[in-house]
Amino acid sequence: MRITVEHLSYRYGEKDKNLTVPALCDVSLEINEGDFFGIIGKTGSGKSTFVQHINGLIKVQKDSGKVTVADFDLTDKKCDYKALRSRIGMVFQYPEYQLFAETVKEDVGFGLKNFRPDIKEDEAERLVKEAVELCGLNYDAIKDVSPFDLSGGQKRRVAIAGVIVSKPEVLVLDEPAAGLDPKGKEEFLQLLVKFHKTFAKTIIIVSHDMDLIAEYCNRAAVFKGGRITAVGTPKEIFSDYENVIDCGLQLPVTAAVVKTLKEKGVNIDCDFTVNSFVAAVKRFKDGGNL
Amino acid sequence: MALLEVQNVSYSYEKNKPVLKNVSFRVEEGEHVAVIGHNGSGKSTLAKLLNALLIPASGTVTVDGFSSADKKSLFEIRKRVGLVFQNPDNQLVASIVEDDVAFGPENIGVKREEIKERIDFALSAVGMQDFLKASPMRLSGGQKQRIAIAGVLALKPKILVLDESTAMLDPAGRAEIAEVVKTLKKDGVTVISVTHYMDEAMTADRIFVLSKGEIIKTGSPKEVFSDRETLKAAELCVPLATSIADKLKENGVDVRGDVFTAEDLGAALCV
Repeated sequence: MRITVEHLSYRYGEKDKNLTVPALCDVSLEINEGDFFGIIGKTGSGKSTFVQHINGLIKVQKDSGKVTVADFDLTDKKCDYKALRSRIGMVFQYPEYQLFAETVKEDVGFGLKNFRPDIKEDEAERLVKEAVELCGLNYDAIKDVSPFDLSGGQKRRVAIAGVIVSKPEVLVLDEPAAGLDPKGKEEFLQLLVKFHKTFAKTIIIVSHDMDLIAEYCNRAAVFKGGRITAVGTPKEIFSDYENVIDCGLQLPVTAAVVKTLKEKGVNIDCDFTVNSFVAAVKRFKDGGNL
Repeated sequence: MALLEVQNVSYSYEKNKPVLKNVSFRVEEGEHVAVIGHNGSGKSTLAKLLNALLIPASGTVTVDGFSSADKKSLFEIRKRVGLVFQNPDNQLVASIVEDDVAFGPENIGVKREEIKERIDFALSAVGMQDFLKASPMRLSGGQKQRIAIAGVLALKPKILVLDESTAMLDPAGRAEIAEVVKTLKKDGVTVISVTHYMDEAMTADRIFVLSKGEIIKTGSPKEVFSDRETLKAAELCVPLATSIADKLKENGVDVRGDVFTAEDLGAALCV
């Protein structure tokens, strides 16, 4: 599902234009099927407003641009949002706060049954079980447990299972690793890589963690004050140090070191993932320098 | 006697499932201690034991000579130990910053004139003196958390406990809180910060590593982050720059000195 956003603007409190500043201002962006896409920018830069347009949680305002997802035209009043949302999974910050049902089985199955009211019970359970296990949990051991009795990391996995149970082709995640310990974070990101390889053809991730963006994303967009200031590969984005700093962001560790070395006259060419950085430094060293 | 003494403390929410096991340590006045550990290691439970929100099942927590085992001491302990939680939205009580910061001192019966002084002191300590009449709802995450800290500082605690108080903030918000901690430390406030961010822990005088309810290591940041075995046992990671330095070494690149930050790594490679 290709996502095309053209000249999108958005203003909260639309009626009183004098009192409000635009949250988005003439934003155009294409996210291709297969992208592991990063959305970065300071708090208040418009990231969340932007991603909520993708599944129609926020409707495009009148004469404020166009959003198209595959064949869905979100500016069309007749847009089938239910069908759209079954194909775009949205994971908010701290998704475990949205758990509500009495058992894990019910909680994970809730969205699925909403999207597919005719689904047979055994088919639903099969999908729920698959989703829970895909998230690295033992279904038989926890299916009848209250989600509130699980540990923090488990709760988050159950919450995510409730989203991926519908096998969304696009998965949008807002700061998904926040609050996880370093090991939990690493495991969680590996989980996303697994989803990306199987059903979630496109992953869109909103994050403040530049190291994560550099390591996992193939493309990213930088937001500032409701506008996009850069789109490209992490290599392109983080090579433009001035724009990154100007947008109030930090450099990933790899890019920061490359910058330091460059200032000393040493050019390291890498795409800012840890492995490419290590390989590039080694190449340089083997060439007899450093 | 140390300002804070924790002796053989154990705690469990459910029978036979101890969350903390026989934990002992001392913190001296003016120290900045970081507590790190995996999710579920007992960090937050420890934080709550320090200001007597929880009372140890066995062992003692003594603050400035007052033991939390003695019910009559609870008030004295809570006056001395201020606790700031993860989500600032859960801690702000009033619709105006000034009232929010005044809430604590009013509760403990501080005189009106002095409350005014304390508000000024607390807000300037966190750099928010210009927001006296602002609505906390309209502030950014970092600003809200600074107001939450000011609300605690207005009680003039000797010890400030930050329980993952930066977890929900963006890097700019985290930097704001780091500045506040630096200022407080200069003013002699003892700070204990529970964190998942290894770079935050790096700024502390000492780090306690908590794993499965036990403190398995204490030491300077350099000592702790050099001890890979312990970190592995605690299911923690070294800072990213350190792990990159390790990978470089494995690949035969000469990286001299200790590397904990991007600056360290840049400097080590420039040698």
